Amino acid sequence: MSLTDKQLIRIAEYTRDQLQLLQSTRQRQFLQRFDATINKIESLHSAKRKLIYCHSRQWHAATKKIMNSVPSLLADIPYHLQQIEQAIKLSDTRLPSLEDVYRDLLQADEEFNGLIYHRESELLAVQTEPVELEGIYLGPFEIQLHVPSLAEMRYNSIYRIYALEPHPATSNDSVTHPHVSDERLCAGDADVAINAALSSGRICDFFQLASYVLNNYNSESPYVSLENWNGYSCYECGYVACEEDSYTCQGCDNWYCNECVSFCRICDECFCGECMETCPVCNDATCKYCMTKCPDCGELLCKNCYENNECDCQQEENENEQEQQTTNATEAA
Amino acid sequence: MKLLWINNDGSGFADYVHVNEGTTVEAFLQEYMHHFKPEDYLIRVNRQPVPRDYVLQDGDRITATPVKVEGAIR
Repeated sequence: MSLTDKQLIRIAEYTRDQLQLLQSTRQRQFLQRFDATINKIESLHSAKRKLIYCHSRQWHAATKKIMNSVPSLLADIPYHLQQIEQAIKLSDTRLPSLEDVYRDLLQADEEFNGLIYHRESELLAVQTEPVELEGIYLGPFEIQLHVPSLAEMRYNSIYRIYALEPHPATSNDSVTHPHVSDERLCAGDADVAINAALSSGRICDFFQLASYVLNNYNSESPYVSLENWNGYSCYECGYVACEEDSYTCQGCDNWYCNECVSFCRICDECFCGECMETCPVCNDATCKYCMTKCPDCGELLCKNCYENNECDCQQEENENEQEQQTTNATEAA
Repeated sequence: MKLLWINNDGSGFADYVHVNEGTTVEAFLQEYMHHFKPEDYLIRVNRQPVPRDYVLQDGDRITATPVKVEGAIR
């Protein structure tokens, strides 16, 4: 259901209030940085006074000590100036009028076929069309803006990308899009523009930019590449292999690539190194299901060796029997 | 005449600019955006879609948003 005009005005008012708070926070931040710079400059003044005093009394050691402290005081100045410059830039953003914000919400409502407001969580949202990248269907997403967070500086938590019909990467459930992990969008090229749009209250521009990022794929820097979207991450080395080259360990159910997987020499099933044992008799890698306990000595050995009576205790028994037979034969002779 | 120009490409900015009377949207964007290709941007004037030969008016708000913008892990 579309938002009524009254609701839109209320949301616009609330959004503008948050932007006003942001502006106030930024001005306060500027004052703090300005104050820190003034303190540094005052330290330089103080050093200068002390220097003149010590020099006039020919206190050479003290003069030298003060002179040595000057470079470190000067070195901090560019940093403080840069901080001030940044703070000025950030607080330079014009606060939009209530009408501007309202019109922006109206525009978003039109462009995205309906603006949504989750009242309890204070999320302003739009839904995208289903996204399909390089033949892989990822489904529609909801771009959710947390309105109260506009008043803070933490842009990373301001918005999230919620998959409405999640089709995550097989190797990682939290990656619902090559550029979305744990509902956070790594906006790449659009990051700065998104921040600029949000801080100046251009809500529709923000939604549009985020939606275009979702509709594009950067193969150079995804969380999980589309090439490996349906592949599995090797539990041992992390390599993402396609389904045909991935194997499930029959012991622990984890996925392994063909480099890390092994197989039981008896049953031929796939197992990882952790789920395999080495038969002490034949030294073959054997799965736990194909190992058995010798009823006589309790030693673990593979079924083949057990069936062939090759356990060490049986060997010893055979040798003893042979020895006994030889002794008996000798005595009889 | 004075326009509000919002460019969402790159770092994104909003600024007032002065242009001559009779300037079309296309001519404006050719001048203000390097290597402008209409298909790469969503253009809105006063928040509405307009044809490329729309003649800009004093006080118009013109927005260009790149449609081919890629995400990346920072």
